[in-house]
Amino acid sequence: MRLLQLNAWQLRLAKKVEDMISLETPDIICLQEICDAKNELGFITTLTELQQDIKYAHQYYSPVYSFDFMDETVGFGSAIIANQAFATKSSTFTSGQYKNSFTLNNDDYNVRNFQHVTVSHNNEFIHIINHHGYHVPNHKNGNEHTLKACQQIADYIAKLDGPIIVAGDFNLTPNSESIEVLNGRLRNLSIEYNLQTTRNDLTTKTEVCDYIFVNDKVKVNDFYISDVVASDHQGLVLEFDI
Amino acid sequence: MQLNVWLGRLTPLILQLVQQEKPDILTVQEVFRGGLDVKFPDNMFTIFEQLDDLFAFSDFSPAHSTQIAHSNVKMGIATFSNYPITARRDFFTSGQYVGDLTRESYVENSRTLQVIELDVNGTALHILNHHGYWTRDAMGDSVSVEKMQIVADTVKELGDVPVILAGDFNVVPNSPAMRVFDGLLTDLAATHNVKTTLSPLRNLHDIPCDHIMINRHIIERDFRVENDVVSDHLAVILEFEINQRTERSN
Repeated sequence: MRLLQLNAWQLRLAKKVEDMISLETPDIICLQEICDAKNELGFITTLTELQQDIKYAHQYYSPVYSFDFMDETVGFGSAIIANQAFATKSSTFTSGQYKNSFTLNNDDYNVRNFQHVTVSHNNEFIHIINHHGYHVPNHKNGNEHTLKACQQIADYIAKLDGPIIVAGDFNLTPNSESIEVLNGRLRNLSIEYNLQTTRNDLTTKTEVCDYIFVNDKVKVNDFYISDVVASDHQGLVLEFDI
Repeated sequence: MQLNVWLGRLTPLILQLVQQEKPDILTVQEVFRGGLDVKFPDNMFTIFEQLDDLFAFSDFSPAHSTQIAHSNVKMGIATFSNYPITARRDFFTSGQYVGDLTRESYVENSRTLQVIELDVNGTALHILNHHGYWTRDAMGDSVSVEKMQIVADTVKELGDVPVILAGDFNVVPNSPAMRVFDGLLTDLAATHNVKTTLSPLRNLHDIPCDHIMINRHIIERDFRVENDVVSDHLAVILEFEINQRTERSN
């Protein structure tokens, strides 16, 4: 199986995201920074439009807030897309709570959650966790909010049985105290494969902040950065078996 | 420098390019102006404000405005300058201003022309900034010609004064719409045989739709298309002087 991890940057480069998915042919796609609405928005591509274009059958969307745009209500959050149905799906907030009618100038944008879906493969259920990490301005070393979120995810996966994959833009460097919480429990492939950056030429930032973690029930066949530039984050591709 | 900023999707890179090139004058299209109270990081809605910080003078011409997450956000074209703006006007060549835009009130191809007069060390320089009428085919159509004729007529009305016309015209140099400038302005995208002004972020190739045009009062010192990817369009850069001999002969 193949899993793609991408902070989709609000699908600003939607056609390039489609190019990446077409090239990498993932079975499961973990996306952060995704908008969705009932109708097309024009200047931003929605999750619904993306799903129609790439022709994947299933998606699970977990908005952290919604905002008003013209006569539309637009959601903002994370999404998991797959070609097979999810056996279970749930979302858990790690920072703040869902905010209706979000404002650009007054509200705290750091409302965060993680998604948990299970998919069936070879008579086993694979746990997929998708997380967009708390954003600390000016650095990726984390703070009390990121530590709490990583501890919350670590405690959550400790209760799960079977293969576990955790993916996301954690907004944290590999050696930050917060990421170390997960490093102690899972294989951190971004570290193990010695990624030098998960950013690209579309940003001035150069850190590793996007991750795929796996537990010992997941056999990693390959792990690499996609060649397609589709966001200000790079796409991480995991080819695995269980 | 001329650049269609693509709604500021790549604002940090645009700011970096502008700081690197240090243009005296910048003409941009597809600009959001969301106001200084927008706090959301890496948002697309404050590119006007962020570019405005890099220049002494600016002028904005909205095509429409709408409410996004309770902020009033305008979209249009803008000209930035380090020379004082001594006169300005703008008008629609196509469509009209729509405030509080909704899906129903959206008018495709609402296009404006800015006419800016700058005081360049005592000489009046006229900068015209235009976002051209869009058709699927970059050769344009009869409406493209009709709308571009309005731009050409505006240039003629200015008289024999230093003029630079810049913008994303949405038509290529050999299109019928560009013929309205024959004998009036020199299209540097044509004289330099520019292959494209679209960046690799677009899956379209060989479309030089961004233009800088000059009249006889402008001496071209250098002209190039900058290959840095900062938008779905490439930046076009003209280094120039005002021809004091022709200017004085007026």
